[in-house]
Amino acid sequence: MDARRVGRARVDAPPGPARVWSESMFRDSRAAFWFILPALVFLCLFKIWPIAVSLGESFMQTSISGRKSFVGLENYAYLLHDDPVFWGSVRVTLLYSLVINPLAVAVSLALALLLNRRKWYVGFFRTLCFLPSAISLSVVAVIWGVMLDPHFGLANSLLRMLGLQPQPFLTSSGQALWCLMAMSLWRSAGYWMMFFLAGLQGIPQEVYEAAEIDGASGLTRTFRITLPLLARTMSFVLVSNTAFNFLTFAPVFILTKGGPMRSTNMLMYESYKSAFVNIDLGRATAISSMLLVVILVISIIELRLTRASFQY
Amino acid sequence: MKNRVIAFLLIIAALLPVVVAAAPATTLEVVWMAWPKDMVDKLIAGFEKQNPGIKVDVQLVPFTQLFQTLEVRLPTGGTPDVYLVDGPLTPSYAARGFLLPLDQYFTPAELRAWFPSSIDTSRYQGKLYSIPYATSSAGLYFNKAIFKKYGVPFPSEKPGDRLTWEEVAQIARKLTIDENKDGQIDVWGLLIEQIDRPYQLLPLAQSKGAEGISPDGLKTEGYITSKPFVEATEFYWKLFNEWKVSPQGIPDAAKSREYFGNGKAAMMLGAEWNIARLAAFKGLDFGLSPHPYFAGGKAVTPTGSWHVGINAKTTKKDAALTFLRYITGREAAIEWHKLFGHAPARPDVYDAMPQVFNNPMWQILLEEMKKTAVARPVTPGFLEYELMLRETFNSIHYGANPEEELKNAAKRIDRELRKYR
Repeated sequence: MDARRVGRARVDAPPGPARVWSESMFRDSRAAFWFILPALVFLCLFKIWPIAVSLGESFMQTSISGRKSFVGLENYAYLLHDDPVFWGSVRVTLLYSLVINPLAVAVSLALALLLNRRKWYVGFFRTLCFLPSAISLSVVAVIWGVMLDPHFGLANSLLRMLGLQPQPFLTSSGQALWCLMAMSLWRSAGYWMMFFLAGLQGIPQEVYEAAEIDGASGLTRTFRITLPLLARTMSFVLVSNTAFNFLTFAPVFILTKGGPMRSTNMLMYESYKSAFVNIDLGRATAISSMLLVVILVISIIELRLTRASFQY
Repeated sequence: MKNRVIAFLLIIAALLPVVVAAAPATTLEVVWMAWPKDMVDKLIAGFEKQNPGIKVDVQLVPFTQLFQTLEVRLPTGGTPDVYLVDGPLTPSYAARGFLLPLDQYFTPAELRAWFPSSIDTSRYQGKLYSIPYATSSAGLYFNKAIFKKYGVPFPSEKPGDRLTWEEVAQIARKLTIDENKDGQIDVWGLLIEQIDRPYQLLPLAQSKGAEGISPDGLKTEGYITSKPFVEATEFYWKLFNEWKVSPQGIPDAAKSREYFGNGKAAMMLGAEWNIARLAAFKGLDFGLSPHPYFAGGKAVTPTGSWHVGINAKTTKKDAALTFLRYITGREAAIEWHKLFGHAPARPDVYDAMPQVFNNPMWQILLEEMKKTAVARPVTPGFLEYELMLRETFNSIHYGANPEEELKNAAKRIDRELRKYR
C-alpha cells in the first residue's frame, strides 16, 4: 500500500510494479474463488449448515422416542407469550450487552491510547493488560468465584480491611450481573486493546505531522484524526464484542447458574438448559435463532454507524 | 534346515504365553461421579485384581456436569459401557432406551440382597434397569458446643423422637448469633445442606401431606401448587427471609459441611454421609437428631441415591455385567462405605459391619430408612423436574414469592413433561 495515499487528501502516486501485480491477480475472479473455497467449505460445514439445522429444529417438537413433528411457530409463540422466564432472560441479556459493549470498547480504546507511545515501561504495561485474555474464561470464572465469595473471599477481606461493609456479590440479585460485567471487562479489555493498538499504529505519521504544522493540539488530534481514522478497527471491535457478549455462557454456568433469582439467567444459558437438561430442542433452538437475529440486526446497525468512507 | 525349523517353532512356542498375556484386555469405559480419585481407584483396583481380563477406564465427572455429560454421550453411541445413574433418573434413561434391561441377569432371590425401596427405584414399567449402589437418609445434625454455650438443651438423639419444624425454627432463632456485634452473623441457626435440591426439600412438603407430582409422573400443576406444598415452601422462605436464621447462597453440600464443621452453624439438615465426613473436622462435637416434621403432619425422610446401569448399546455386555455385579456387590459396598461413608443399599453390609452401624446415629437413620423414607417422584422427566424445581427453590430462598414461583414452575415443568405422554 502506498504510504502517501492518506486520508481524504489523496495523493495519486504512479502505480508501482507491486500494485500492478496484486490488482491483476484479484481482478481474476477465478483465482479468488480458489483462495476463498477452503474457508467457504468450512464456513458452510461448521457455521451455515448448523444454523440452518437449528432454524429447522425451532419449528419442530421432538417426542421422547425421537419422533419429530412440525409445530410451526408454537415454540416461538410459547416463548413470546407464555414462558414465565424468557422475557426476564431477554432483559438480563440486553442490560448486560448494553452496558458491557460500550464499556469494553471505551476502556480498551483508552488503554490503547495510553499505551501507544515509545517509552521503556510501555511493554510491561501492555503485557500486564493483555495477560487476563491469555487465561481461559472458565479459569477466570473460577478465580473470580473464589475472590468474590461473600464469607471467605479476598474482595470482602479487602473491604473489611478498609473499614467498609462486606458485600454479597454473586449471591445478591442486585450485584451478580454487575460482577459478571466487571469480570468480563477485566478479561477482555486487554485483548481488544491490542486491536486498537494495531489500528493506531496503522495511522500514518504524516497526518499527525501535517496537523501539527496546522497547529492542532493533542486533544484535537485525538478527536479529529485518531478516532475517525480508527473507524475500521472500531467497527470490527464493536461487532465482535457484541456477538461475544450476547453469547456469554461460561461465567453464568460456572458462577451463578443463572441466579440469584434469575438475575444472571442470560439467553444462551437458558437455551443450553433447554437443550441439554430439559431435552427440549425446539425451545432451545427457537431461543438461539432469535438471539442470532438480534445479534445480526445490532451488528448491521453498528457497521452502518462506524462505516469508514476513506482510504489511506 | 530341519533343526532351524524346530528351533524357530520352539522360539514361537516360548513366546506364545507372552503374546497371549499381552493380548489386549477388554477395556470398559465407565462414567462415575468425581468422588476423591484415590478412593475410586482403590475400589476399581479391587475389581481389576479379581478380573485380570478386564480393564476399567473410569472417567470421573463432577456432580454438576455428570448429568449433562451423560445427556450428550448416551444418545450418540455405545460408550460409556457402564455409568452411574442417579436413582430417580432410571425411568428417564430407560424411557429413551439408554439402559440395558437387567431382568434376565438377576434372579428374584439375588435381588433380595438390596432394600426393596431401592429396587423399586430401579424399575420402570415393571422392568429392571439399574442396580442400587448406595442409598441415603437424612437427619438434623447439631453442634453440641454451640448448644451448650448458649444454654439450649440438646434435641433428642433417640430414633423416631423428632422435633417439629416449628421447634427447630425457634431454636434456630435463639442460635443465630452475631458474636462480636459487627452486623455480621457469626453463627447461623440452621443450614439446609443441599440448599435448593428437591431431594432435601420435598420431605418438608410431604410432611404436610403434599405430593410432588401426579401418580403417573406427568403433571405437577395441582401438586407443587397445592396448599400444603405452598405452605411448606413458605416456611422455607421464612428461614432465609423473615427469621433470617439460614444463610443465602451456599452453593453446595461441601460448602455447607465446611460451615457446620467450622462451628459457623448450630444445626444442619443433612445426609447420612456427614456421620463419616464430619469426623474430619477436629474438635467438632456433634449429635444427630431424627429428621424434623411439621406439627400435625407426618414424618417423612428422603432416601435413594446412586445406582449403576449398563448402556443398552454396549458391545461389551459380558464384561459390563461382571463389573456391575462386582461394584454393587457386598464386598465393594463394604469397601466403599469404609472409604466414603455412603449408606449401603444392601442389608447384608449393615450386618457385616456392626462396629459401624451400631453407632446411635446410624441407628436413627436405619429406623428412618425402614419407617419414614419416601423415594423421590417416579417420572421419566425427572431431569427436567429436578432442574426447574431446583431453580424455583433457589429463587425462593433468595426472597422470591413462593406461590408465584411454584405456579410458574408447574407451568414450565408440565410443558416439558408433554413429550413423555
